[in-house]
Amino acid sequence: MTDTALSDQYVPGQSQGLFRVREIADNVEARPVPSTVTMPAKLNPAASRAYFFWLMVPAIVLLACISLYPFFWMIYMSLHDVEIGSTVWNNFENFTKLATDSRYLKGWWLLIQYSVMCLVLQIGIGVFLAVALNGARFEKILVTTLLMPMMMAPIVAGLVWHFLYNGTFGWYHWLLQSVGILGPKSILASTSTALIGIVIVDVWQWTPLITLITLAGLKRVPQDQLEANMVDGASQLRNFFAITLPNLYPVLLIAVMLRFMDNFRFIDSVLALTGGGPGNATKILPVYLFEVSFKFFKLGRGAAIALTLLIVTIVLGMILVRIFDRQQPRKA
Amino acid sequence: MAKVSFRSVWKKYGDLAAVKDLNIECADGTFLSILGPSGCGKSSTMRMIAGLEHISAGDILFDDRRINDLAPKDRDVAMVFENYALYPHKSVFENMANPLKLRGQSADRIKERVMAAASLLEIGHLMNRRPQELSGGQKQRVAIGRAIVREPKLFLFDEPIAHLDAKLRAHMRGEIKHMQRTLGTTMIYVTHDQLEAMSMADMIAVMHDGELQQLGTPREVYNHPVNAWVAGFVGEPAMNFLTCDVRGERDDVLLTHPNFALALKPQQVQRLNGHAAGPVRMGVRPDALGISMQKLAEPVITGEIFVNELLGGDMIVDVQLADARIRVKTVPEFDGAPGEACYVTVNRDKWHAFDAETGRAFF
Repeated sequence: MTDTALSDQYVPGQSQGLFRVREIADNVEARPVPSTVTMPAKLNPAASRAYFFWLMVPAIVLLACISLYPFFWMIYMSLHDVEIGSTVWNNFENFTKLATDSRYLKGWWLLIQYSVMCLVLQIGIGVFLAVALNGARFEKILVTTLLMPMMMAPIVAGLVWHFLYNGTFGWYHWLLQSVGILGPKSILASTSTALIGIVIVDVWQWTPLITLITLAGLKRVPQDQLEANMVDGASQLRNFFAITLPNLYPVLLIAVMLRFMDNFRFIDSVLALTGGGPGNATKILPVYLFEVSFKFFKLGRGAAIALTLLIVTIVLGMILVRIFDRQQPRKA
Repeated sequence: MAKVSFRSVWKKYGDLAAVKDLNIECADGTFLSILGPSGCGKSSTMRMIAGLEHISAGDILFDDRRINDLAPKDRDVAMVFENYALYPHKSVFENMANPLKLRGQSADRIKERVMAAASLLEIGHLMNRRPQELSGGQKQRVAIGRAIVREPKLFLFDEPIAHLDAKLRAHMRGEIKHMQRTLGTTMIYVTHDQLEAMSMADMIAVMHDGELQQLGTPREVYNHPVNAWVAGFVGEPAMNFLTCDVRGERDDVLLTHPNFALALKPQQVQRLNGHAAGPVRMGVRPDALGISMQKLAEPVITGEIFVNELLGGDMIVDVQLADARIRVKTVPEFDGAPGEACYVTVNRDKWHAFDAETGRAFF
């Protein structure tokens, strides 16, 4: 296709008067290229480090005020008996007493049960929903609808479910009772089922988050790998486990990290639902911590509990980050 | 190994037809190249064969067996993707073993087949690496290795070497052609690079706008293009087109252009088939033209040199005519300078005439 019709103005030969043609003689000799390279004597100065330091100072100071100061104050408190008007050094007693505090130990055990149940259910249901919704006909509308629980304040969610679970007029209670799963007692009223009650609320509220994150991850699963595997001879199901799931790992790890940290921190819905009861059946560690610090006002002991909780959170977080790093493809 | 037949195959995306009424017979063991620019429907065609796209209308047959409704895994084809599509979380060995593993082969057999394929492709030393640690050429070999570990009925190669650098691409052309001849498996190779199609294929199917333009051997497609589009697409540098007129009658028919007049040979007149007078498009390849600074006796085109391009072993000279610019391939010793008058000769047996409106070839 080389019909290179030119504009009408072009007249052959005219260009020579307009432009000077540089003649390059054919007999120009090739010049030898120097074979050694020497470093320049002086390098151009880079921007000064001090300049960048002073740019960061305001942020560092602000961060120190709102984050570091309370942190060190917490450590300080954890080593003292803190009463209003007096702080007395107590020889690590806050910590040593924890070892024999049965409610503290049970708090840990409940927290582990609670977190594991929440994570397993949320990841399982969340991924299933994401796969089902991905590319579905009304995907956007369905996802938006699904996200609604997440937009509710946790304390409100807790209160709503508190009523839904109510033994006399709760709708869910009536439903569960009519199909014979529950007796006349509310799910929150029995020590054996109360924990499940708070797990259900957490799953209800936060599964959409997992679905949302997973959906974003699914969009990034390389289509060509799925197709290659299909041509290689994989069924749809095998394709999911061989290609889709490995590609979702990084995304799911972030989801797990977010959710377990939330479970270690957020107690609004638990407080609204059970307040830690019946008995101590739902007194997961952060609830106990809240109670010790702000109900019994043992700030020193509370700080000690908080510190142990913080350390475990950091360690678990670091482990997850380490796994996450290992999942990332190494650069060649 | 299988014969592949397309029977009036259509691919529609909504109202848009990507492939229109495609009919191709590809004999067992043939290296068929589907050639066309991007958006011509060649990739859709390949994906329909692999089972990755639904066939909107018509049938595709392997050895007279209709495969329209088979899942990709049941079609027994092996595909190499443009961007390799290796599994990043698997080693090279696992990547290549995947098709065998999915078919439940024993570990010994897998190892044997993978190693055989690896030695054919000379990638035996890479078996424990991950795809991210490979160069483009190595990735491409692994992708081919994954295709050849089992003995599929059909190879589907979707522009597998498009992302390699020019030198490696030239090398891989030879390797792929050799590999296909060695294995004897039917191959369908999609490309937009006419050089790849010309140099490797037994048969070329040229596609444009979803329609099959021409199906033929590389020689046929190059020497006897069925229309101006195929003539312009195949060949590098591209064919020159000039708008000319046909005048005269019987034994004295002339092709006229503002710069020249060319007498037609009797058999050429015959092929014009009654198109005795009126405009035609003349097509002539740069290598069917000669150029000289002296006026010669034979029919010549007078023009002015626009620019010279030295390509090492050849020289391409752009010659400015009254209404167009043509490219001539000549020897690197040619010494005309831009702006000088020159004389271009035409090989009277090696030019083409196309219908000015439809683009259909007369000869």
